[in-house]
Amino acid sequence: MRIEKSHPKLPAVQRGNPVRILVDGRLLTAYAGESIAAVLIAEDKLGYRYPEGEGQEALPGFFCGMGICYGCLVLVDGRLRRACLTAVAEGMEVRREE
Amino acid sequence: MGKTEVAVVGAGPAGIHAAVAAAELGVEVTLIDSYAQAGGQYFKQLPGVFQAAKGDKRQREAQKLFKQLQHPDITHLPNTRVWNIAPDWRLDLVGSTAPRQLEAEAVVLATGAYDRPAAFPGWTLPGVMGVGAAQHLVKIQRVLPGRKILVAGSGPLLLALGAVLVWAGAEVVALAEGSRGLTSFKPGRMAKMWGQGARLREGLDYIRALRGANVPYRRGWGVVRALGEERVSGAVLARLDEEWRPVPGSEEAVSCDTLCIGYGLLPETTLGRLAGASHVYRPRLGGWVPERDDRMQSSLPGLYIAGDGAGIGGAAQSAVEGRIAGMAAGYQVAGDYFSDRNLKRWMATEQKRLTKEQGFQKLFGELFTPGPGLDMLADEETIICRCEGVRLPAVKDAVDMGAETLGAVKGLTRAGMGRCQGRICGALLAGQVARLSGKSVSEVGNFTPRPPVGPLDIEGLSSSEE
Repeated sequence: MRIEKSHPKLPAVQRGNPVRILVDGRLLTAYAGESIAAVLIAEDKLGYRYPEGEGQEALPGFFCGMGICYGCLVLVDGRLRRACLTAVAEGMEVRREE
Repeated sequence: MGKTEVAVVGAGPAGIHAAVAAAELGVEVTLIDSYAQAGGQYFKQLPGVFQAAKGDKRQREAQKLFKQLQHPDITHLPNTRVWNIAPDWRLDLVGSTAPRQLEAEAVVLATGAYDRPAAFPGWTLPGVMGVGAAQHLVKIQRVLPGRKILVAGSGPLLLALGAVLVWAGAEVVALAEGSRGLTSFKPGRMAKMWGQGARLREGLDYIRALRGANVPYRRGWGVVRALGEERVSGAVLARLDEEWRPVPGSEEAVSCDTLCIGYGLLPETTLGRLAGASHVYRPRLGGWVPERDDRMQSSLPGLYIAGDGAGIGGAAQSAVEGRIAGMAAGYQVAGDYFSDRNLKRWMATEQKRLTKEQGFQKLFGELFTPGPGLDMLADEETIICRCEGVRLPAVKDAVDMGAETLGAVKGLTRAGMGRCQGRICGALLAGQVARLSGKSVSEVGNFTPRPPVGPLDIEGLSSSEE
């Protein structure tokens, strides 16, 4: 859930322009400046890990949020990236499973 | 191959201050940081394209500091990771705007710290995340990690997160603080709070926010199990004794959709250990920390280490340590131009500040260092190493086979061999091996780091994350 309300201790922000990204084939609207992890969590898709299946090991999922644990790896236009550190871009294709 | 006089690794409070201090001595500085924006985990900066009517106090403080980074002698390399370090000094880098190698006459490591996790049943469920991860989501990304959030662990970062979540509009179920230190406050400790007004005011802000939202702050309580199938749906809390062992019969189930955990911070020491600097185990400073002289120089000449990555002390102490390290490194390079007396005078002022901060650091360690009970929560199903999916029984088997060091257990179980290179599981595994073998955590030792630091295949050598 994106934070829209403003609090004196946490003033509201204006996000970047809307961008469209594909997540597992589904079109999502995100905002420039957001990380892939933030978008997935805002869309309530927190439990993103590769499913444990044939020839695939499960990824541990989003945990440290700052690039240390590598649990949030996703395929971004075919290359492995940490979702927590990778900013969205128009037309980006994000896959959480092969 | 790039060249610089002083290379600073990490652009948090320690690294920024080190870079500025060295540059002010007229020395050429390269500041290398793995994030897109300087500031690190303390000065959480909004993404460049986000606009705030006005930033919070800390972000304004950061803006002031960043202006100093605009120094002509400082080159800032964002989105750049150091994946190897060799003596006298050569850094291997990966990043879109960085040279592949950088030679430096002196290096300041200011690599910071990250949340200490705990291995309890269910801690690997989606929806369980570090306190720092949740802070990052809320303050930088402006996204709530969930709607109904339980915060558990130890230390003032729990209060900070709880308050920020309240301000952001989340329901905070409770704060479970394992330590009971705050209730047994001794007068002698008060002296160390003297001169820490800013910190105390910040703390009062947090407490006011939590009280206003009726969030229970349960001291001497901890999570013993996370509940849920596909993702976390609740947790079992229990009262903890002095040693942090759950008191039988005190368990209470609470419901939540997100569980944020942080049991203090772990210093990030990989590069220093890879370089061969001597480290010692100091649990109250966060675990393994480098040995340093009073100029922040490690056991290796020309390698300085400052900030939380050398022992948890917080942002103010990191800033002081950064300035000392930056001055010392700058002086080492530009020594001909300055009399030793000047350096001594500068150092004396900073040392005084450092002593004050170290008093607070000591108090902090006494109050919030987790007890041994934290390592007793895992059961037969509990994963210890997330990357490789190594569960407690495999660790037990390894110890039964005679493995008594982290290195030996890694060889037998693959724990620590995954993409995080043991950063998340190292402290957990050390606690388990010590408990099972009867050795001390210090004897169990640490993983031996090897290059590349961080998996190189992720970013590749040419492209980078933004």
